[in-house]
Amino acid sequence: MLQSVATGGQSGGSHPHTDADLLAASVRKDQRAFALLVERHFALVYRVVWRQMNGHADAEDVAQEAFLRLWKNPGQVREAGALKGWLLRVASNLVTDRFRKAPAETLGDDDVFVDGRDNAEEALGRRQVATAIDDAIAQLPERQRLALTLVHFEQLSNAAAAAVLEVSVDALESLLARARRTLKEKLNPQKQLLLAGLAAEGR
Amino acid sequence: MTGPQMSDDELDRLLSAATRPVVPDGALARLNARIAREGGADNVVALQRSVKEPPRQSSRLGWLAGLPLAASLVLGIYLGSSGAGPGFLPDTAYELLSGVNLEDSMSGIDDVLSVAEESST
Repeated sequence: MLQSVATGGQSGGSHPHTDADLLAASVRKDQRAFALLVERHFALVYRVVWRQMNGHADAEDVAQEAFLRLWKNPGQVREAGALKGWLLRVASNLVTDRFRKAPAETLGDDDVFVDGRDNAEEALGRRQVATAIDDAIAQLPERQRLALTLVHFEQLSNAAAAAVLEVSVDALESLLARARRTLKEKLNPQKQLLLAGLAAEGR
Repeated sequence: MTGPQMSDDELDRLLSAATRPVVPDGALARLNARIAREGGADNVVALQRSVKEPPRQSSRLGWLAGLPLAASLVLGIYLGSSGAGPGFLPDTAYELLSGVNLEDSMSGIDDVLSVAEESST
């Protein structure tokens, strides 16, 4: 079925199909087309869920659940341009539901992901700094954390992030401002130490 | 000793040090496997578009059947108002009715139990 999409889709690039093509094929239960959508968007959804769940091991499961809901009913996404926002909205709602059922667990040392660089001393310093920042972010209220994640870490526009949170752009900017103010207050006592740690690593 | 308030630039530098989660190995394969297990099962059932029934042809028979009913009503009103009612039934019927003591006759569901008791004894 995907071949029929390919003939009518865009050419060039590693993914010649648009989200619209892939969504249309997914409506027809084309698993290959859906696999391309997964490949394209899973990492973003996973990162947002991970941040919302403070690195909890269930982040993968929640991200998967968002995609399964899309697979079961791709017709819910009326415009392919809204797909990313739809996935993020569903995923963040799933996180909220899960936290409602079970209180959030904080990020444990064993759950911290390292980025693959293997200099032990440098990794330790970086990891301590990262843990301090992660902890401060984890203590933000849920919606402030989501706003910060979407705009700061995932580079979504304010309008796109507001759509995910289902608030106005003004409300999103307010969430962001409060998140940043709270982070400054929390991190300010360790500011010199943390910045020195970053400087030592050449950041 | 916290020092001066943190600037936006300093906060951005610190945020850049936050953990960047990476998708666990095999996550996409696990998701695709779940999707394959789900297969084409769709939990959304498309509702049949309701078919509008064609309007029924109005039957003239209905009006014809109403004619004797209407005539009967008119006749009843006429007879009732002219006082001719009592002579309608045969004389034997009036004789039978005059002999009935309504208080002794059965009066409804309350009598069912007594009748049942009587029949069981």
